[in-house]
Amino acid sequence: MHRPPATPVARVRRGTPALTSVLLVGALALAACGQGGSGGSGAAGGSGARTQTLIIAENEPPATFDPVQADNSTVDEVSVPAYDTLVEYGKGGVLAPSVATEWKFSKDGETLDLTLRDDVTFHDGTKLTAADVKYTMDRIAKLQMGVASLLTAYDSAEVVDDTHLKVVLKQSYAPFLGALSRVYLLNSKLVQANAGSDDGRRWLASNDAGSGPYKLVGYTPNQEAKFTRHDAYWGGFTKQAKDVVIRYLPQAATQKTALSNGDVDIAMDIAPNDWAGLESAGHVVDKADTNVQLYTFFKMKDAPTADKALREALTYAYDYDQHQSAILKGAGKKAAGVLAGTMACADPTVAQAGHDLQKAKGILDAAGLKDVTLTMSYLKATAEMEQAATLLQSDLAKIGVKVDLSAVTYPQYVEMLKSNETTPDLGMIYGFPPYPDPDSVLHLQFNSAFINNGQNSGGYDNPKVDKLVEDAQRLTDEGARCALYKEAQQTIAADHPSINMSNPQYVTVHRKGLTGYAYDPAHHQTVDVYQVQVG
Amino acid sequence: MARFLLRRLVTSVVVLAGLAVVTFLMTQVLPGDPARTAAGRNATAEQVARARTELGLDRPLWEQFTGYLDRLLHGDLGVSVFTQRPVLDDIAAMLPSSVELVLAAMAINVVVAVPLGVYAAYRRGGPSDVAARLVALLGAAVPVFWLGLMLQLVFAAQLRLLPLTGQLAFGQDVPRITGMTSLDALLGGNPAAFGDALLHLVLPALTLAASFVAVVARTVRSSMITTLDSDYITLARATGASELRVVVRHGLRNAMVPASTILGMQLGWMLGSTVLVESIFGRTGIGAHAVAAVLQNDLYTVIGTVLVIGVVFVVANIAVDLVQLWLNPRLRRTRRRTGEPAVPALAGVKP
Repeated sequence: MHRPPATPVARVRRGTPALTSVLLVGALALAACGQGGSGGSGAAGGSGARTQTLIIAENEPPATFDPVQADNSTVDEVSVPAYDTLVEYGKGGVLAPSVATEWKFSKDGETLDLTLRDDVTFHDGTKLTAADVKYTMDRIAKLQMGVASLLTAYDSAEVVDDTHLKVVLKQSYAPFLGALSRVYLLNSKLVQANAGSDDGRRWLASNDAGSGPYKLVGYTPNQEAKFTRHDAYWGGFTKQAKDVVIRYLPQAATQKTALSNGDVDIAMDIAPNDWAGLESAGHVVDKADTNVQLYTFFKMKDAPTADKALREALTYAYDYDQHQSAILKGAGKKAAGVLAGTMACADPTVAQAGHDLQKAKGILDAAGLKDVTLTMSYLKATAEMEQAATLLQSDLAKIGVKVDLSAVTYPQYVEMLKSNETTPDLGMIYGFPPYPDPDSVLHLQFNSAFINNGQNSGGYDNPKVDKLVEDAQRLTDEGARCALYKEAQQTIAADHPSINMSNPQYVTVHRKGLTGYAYDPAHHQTVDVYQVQVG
Repeated sequence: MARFLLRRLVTSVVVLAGLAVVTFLMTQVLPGDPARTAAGRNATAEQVARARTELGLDRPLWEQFTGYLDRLLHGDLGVSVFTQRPVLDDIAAMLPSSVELVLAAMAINVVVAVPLGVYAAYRRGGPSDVAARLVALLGAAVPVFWLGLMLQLVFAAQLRLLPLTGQLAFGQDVPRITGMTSLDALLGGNPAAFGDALLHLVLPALTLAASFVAVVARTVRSSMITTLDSDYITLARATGASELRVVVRHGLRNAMVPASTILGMQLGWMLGSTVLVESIFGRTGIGAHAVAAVLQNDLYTVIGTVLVIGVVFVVANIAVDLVQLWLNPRLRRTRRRTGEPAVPALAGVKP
């Protein structure tokens, strides 16, 4: 449109809003050119490609793509699509073959013979052999970080031939097999070619050396990770997505909007208050049982919580039903003990306190305990923790126990646990078993070696439990192992080291039309994208 | 001019050295153990000790600090605990994206705040003045994260006019040339991607700019009021110049001197504020990188990010001084006489 020439002043007056409008309209027009008529928010892109792409919303990006750090769920999440493991946990928490088709412990339990598939190829086309498995384990043992904490028993490995490997352990250690579900197999030639002076840590931080169903093709830090199909994957493909994108959206509200808009297919961190609304809008709310538990650990060594009667009373004061209905909104169970009920070797006969204020008061009176004041630290990491802390405070007030609450960050909490003086009387934290083996809870959370250094938050110290669990680690007979683990659970329960507050479910919301999505208890807070069918 | 620049450079070096010391000490008192983080949540005591040795955290504090300063003087900000990549490389890769966001926000800031301030001053005391000030204050009063979420809700979820998060739509791809998505799209000859990148900039830039508009608008209003009361404005009107020419040409140019100081400082503040905005809108950048580093206890990345933001702040301030010298010849004379910079808040209010 022709306009009369304007004076400089007039340009200032008219130009500001006009320029903004022109820019916005121009941007819309330019963007529309490239969208191929898909419309929507602009993030949806071409509809044809989009239906073959699975987009997952996740709240936290990984610090690295190096699978040695896959004990952290954010790294595990990006390792699952790109790498294979020797074994994996199948339905019911039973170990199933993956790259390893067979395995056998020696009689003394100190060597493990593995037979591997011979049709596995890495993303660069190289064939996976036993040498790659040995390299992966040696690298973990050398770096001594991340998943190395699960492989402390590893001594060495001997390549028998391309498909056979003999793993030598420092001592018999039955949970080793379960821990292998977190050992992601590396293309040894590729990593060695890029190893530098840090065993490939720098290179693997942003590159993929796996043989998994999807290969990493791009990462925009803090924004998204992109994967595309590894067409030669030994498992083959049916209706899985051609591409997978993990998009990092820290806010639950943003994830909800993205899911509603169709910008993402699966949202991992939707707020409980939004579940019903999304379900009624046609989305699928998937609630899955987990091995995760929320605990409040008592400080075991100092008064007042060193008093067993006080600890027992407090376990009866907490309203577990209220937690389940009001806090979890039904997405969880009451804890059945220190082990989640879904975990192998969980003992259903273990005594687990219920809400009984009269009993709690009775125990306190019998022990002559009055005017007790306790310090309690909790993480403000989830709504469940925040609400559980105030619920516990209110419940304990009903039996005359005052609780001084303090919200801390996880690093602060770890710092507090470094000495008995700074450990709070009550400390609330989740237990995330790295793999579904009872050892990953009973050893890591209750062994005295982890007092003031790791996951033994309350400083629980019972030589009998240490011995039972360490003996169980050496047994390869599952029945005999379970018997020892069950005895350990009974012993721990009798000591009342914790309030076992809940066994929450893991809730993800996804669009209708996706099939095959299933929560994997061996890889909490991840999506096994290979199982998801988009067609 | 050279003397002035030299003085500013020396002051800047002192400021940055102070920042390096404070940042280093700050990371020492922050809760958390980087060695535990690096070794893993379930690591044994031996594994944590080994990680501590590898990171050099078992050495005395003074030794860690002198080593850190030595590396810093050689342009080495250390390596990330997790990725083993040089911190400087990571920051260099992400800074352009943040700069793109800050420039877009600054453009909105100037385009909105300056006319708002001028208009409020011109209509001072009237309902328009009150309304303009209220609008500006509202932007400053609303928390950034809330504003971001509301804008997403309205423009992305309800109206579906603008994209929710990210920097490019699905399926768009641009070559990495400068690290600024929109510029790279343009340089790569992809107009559709360019338009798309601009659309992805709108909501985050608005969110980032909102809290800064009030300060600039109030500064411009205040200095415009003083300027419009000046004798030379009366003289300009008496010469028969149009009102717009009087206000914009004679009034605004002088009133912009104090505002330019604020705008320059806001460049640094905005870079710091990207921490929240980039996280909300799923953009890559130095702010989101800093958040991740803090969450992951990545010691040298945290220090490096703070230092780089500090450098940008200092450079922006030097640039502001230079712009003021260009805007107001009187300052050049003042500085030539005294060797001291004039007080920017007062300088240039009158011709």
